[in-house]
Amino acid sequence: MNLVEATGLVKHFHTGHGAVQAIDGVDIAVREGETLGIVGESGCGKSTLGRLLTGLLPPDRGSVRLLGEECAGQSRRALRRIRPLVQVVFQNPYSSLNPRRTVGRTLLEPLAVHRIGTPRDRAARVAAMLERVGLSPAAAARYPHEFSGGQRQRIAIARAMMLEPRLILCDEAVSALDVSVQAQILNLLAEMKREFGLSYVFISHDLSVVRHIADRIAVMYLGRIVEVADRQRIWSEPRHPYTRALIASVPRPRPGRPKPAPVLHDDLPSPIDPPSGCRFRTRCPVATPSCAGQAPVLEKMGADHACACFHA
Amino acid sequence: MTGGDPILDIRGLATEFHTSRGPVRAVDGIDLSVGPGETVALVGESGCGKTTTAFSVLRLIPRHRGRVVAGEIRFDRLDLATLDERSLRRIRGNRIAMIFQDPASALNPLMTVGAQIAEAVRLHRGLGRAAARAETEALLRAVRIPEPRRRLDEFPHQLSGGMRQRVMIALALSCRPRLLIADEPTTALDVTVQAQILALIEELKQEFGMSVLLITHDLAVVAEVADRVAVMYAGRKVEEAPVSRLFAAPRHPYTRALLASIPDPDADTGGGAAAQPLPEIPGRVQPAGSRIEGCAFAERCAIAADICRQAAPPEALSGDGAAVFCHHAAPEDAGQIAAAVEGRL
Repeated sequence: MNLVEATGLVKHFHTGHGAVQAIDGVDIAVREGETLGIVGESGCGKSTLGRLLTGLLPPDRGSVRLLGEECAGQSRRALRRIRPLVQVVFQNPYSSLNPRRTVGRTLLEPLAVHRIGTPRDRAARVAAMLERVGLSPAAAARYPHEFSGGQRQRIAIARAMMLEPRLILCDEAVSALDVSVQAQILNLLAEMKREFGLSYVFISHDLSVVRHIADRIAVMYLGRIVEVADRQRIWSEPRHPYTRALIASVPRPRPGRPKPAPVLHDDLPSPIDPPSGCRFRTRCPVATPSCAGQAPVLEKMGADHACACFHA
Repeated sequence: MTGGDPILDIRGLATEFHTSRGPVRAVDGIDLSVGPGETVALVGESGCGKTTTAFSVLRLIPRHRGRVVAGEIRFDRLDLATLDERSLRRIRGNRIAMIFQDPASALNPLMTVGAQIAEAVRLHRGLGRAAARAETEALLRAVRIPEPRRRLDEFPHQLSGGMRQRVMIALALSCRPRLLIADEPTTALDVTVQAQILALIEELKQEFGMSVLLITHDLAVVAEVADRVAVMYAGRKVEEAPVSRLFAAPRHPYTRALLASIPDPDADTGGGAAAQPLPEIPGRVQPAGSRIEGCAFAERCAIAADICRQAAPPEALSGDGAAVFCHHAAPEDAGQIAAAVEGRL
């Protein structure tokens, strides 16, 4: 069963230099109870896709259905019913928590906005959630600056959990953390998912982390998904040349291993004026002239595996 | 890879910052050396003192913020810790160059890339205008920037992050340094670009005969490029070893925990089954400046005993410059370690 179903998504941002084609024709679903990882280089559109999937941004074209209900083009009022189901955890818990509010007030607010429970009931919920994410209930009386980065990310997760969402968007949620703390937060996210039957859209530039936490991984390049498969398959049998290059670039904690020469040499082309046809063709080691014509579409490559490449 | 006297030899370095609560010791007695042609990685989590160590080498810590309070920094028969400012300026950027995590903030946004590099070339190497421009173009070519002549006249904001880091490296190389200090040089870059920059540093190291001191939090990057690794925790070095040995047989509990907590992208997960929880290091690093009697890691250590909270751990040396600071350091042999740690836990 699909929690989110997005089809034909297009989102362009207008700038002084032209329209940035942040998302240009994306179909993707988030299944109930899964973690969908989204990877790609900076500027590939992964954060924009995350925001479209969670209704934080309206698409220019296309549809986003959350639990069967269309989000795109809905009024704010209608979205208000859907919003509690979807929450977000951002990279920088310092800037996403209001520094002038106690942690307790920050956690209470979503309950108040959606008029859930009595004041006493709400306070009890805050205390319970703080405990669940590994903080003392006494943390409610303190301010964000009194906490370390890892603790602040716990607070951000607690806030996201207050409305019992079905889906949490984690946008680089562990990227600013030290490795020892990163492991704590990744484990906490995994526990929350099991306990509350959550789904995650997990966006990160760190492929090792996504490989660890995601059930399925979508690889993006210049506003399009080039390959999507379950975490094991995409790693062991990548079909798209870009996915292969990306995986080969990941540093491995194994000294002395034979190092592959860097596959990709240039930078990502401008999303304002992307290459015709297959957008990866300008950097692709196996591109042929025909790649400049039609854009390849995602084609099934077996169970739970799809790839958009003429040479896959 | 290594051999001969070290290029850089740090002994007992201690650096303090001034704070409203008095001096805070960010680096607390570090020994570290870098041999000719060697890449030494200084690794640790935020606040462990790795960047402060690097900044101390070139005395780049502003005087109103802090100072080196003890130790020697031997570079080429000079002691950088006590050298006068004028002589030090001849070394900085000249024989020791440094690159940073964020090239955007290290480059002058109002000067073209070419003018910035040419300035350094003229200042340090006394070249004329035309010769400097030719040399600048050669440097951009050396760091594999496509169309170097065109790039000379561009401003930093016109370049991508990866290109900017290449410009920083060109700038660092402009004076043919013997030592390159690279402080998180690829942390802000995408993996694809990171792979390019790491490969570039490696090639240039060979080409220019440099040594590299790499400051990073990323153990996978360490595994890819370092010859030797020093692990820092709370201002102290806890372990040092050749890279293959450190990864195969880490002896300090912190090193062990750190290595265990990074997800291994190649782990076989057996067809999409949920990942195993990562081993965590409980708690967090003590805030800088907290006075620690014994081992700084004791509070988070799974095998800490009373002695660890009372006495600073002694240095246990083994051959080829490996060292570990721990009352309960695991034996040197990998097999024994596993057995010993299992037994203790």
